[in-house]
Amino acid sequence: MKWNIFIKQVHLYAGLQATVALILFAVAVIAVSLPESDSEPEVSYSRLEGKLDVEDLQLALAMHEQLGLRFEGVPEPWMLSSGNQGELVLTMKSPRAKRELSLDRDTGMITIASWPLSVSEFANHMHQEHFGRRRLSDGVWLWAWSLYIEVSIVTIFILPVTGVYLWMVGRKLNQKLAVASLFGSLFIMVMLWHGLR
Amino acid sequence: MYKLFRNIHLLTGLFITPFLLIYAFSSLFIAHGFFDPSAVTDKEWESQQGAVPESLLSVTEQLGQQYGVHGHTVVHFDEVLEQEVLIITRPGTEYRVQRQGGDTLFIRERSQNFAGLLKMLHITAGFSSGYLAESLWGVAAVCTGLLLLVLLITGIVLWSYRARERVIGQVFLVGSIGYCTVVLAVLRFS
Repeated sequence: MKWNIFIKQVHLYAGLQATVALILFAVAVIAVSLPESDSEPEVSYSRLEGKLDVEDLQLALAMHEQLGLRFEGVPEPWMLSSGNQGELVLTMKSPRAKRELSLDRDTGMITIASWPLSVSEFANHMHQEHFGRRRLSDGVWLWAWSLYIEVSIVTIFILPVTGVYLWMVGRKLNQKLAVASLFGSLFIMVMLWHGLR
Repeated sequence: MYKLFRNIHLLTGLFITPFLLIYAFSSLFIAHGFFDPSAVTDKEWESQQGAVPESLLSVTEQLGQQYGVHGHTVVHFDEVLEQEVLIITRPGTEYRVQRQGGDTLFIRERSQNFAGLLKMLHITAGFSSGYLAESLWGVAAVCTGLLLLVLLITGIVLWSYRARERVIGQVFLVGSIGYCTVVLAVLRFS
């Protein structure tokens, strides 16, 4: 009996702790399922000071530092690509906007294209944060958010498992209805899975 | 009222349990790389068609009947091969179909493992897909999102009835909301 009370409390407190994350997950799931609309970027310009004849990653790090991008992660090789004119392109996302920095390697001219994130895009972006993506060196605030998301991922496991357990030991609802709900959902998932696979 | 909220909470909770677990597992694959989602298996074969029609799109149905090939179809011009290629995709699987001579099709199937499929399902934008099963998955995902909100609201209502757990619950709820509000506000507005 004490065990069941313990599980009930874990379910309750884990759910309350994860309230914001669950809202974000719900909004993000809905947001990514809807068609995206193309928007025009806000464009600004700058010039890179310093050496231009260094490796791409070093150029990207120099741009990142010079522009003072606080909440974009430190550039890594996978964020880099080449543009149509051979320019270096650094693609980054912050909680405020998606940014594409294009550097002309000859002149040092930087073109900064920014697409501000809507509320749903913001929710989608924030729910993707995790320790695999963020290091403490990326900034304490980003790391603090990643910590919350990591805890919430664990909660997403805890809530259904403890919930099903409590249902099985409690049986306060018409069992047929509850079983229909669970197995109906499983049936829908299997059918969708079959169609997709 | 308590009983009603409890029943709604229980029924919606049980209904979204499989979807929630799928999303939780796929977030582990994406965030921490348990299993390698990028691993792929290639399979190639040739198919004798009698005469390959002018438009590759018209062989889609036939390939579906012969080999179970199905998914969202697109034809594009491959500049290396200098010919049209039919691309058929669904989450975790891609087929490339091209002409080989006048009466033969060359088909390459590239499929991801289970982790890859889960990852694709996690990030797929269901409604904008032209493939029915993927669009239905999008509908299921949106329903899961909405039911998650219902679950959250009913959960908080149920907690409000429980006097004994109110204080500790408030610590968790207010602490969590406060922490998130400060961090998100700094990240978004500073």
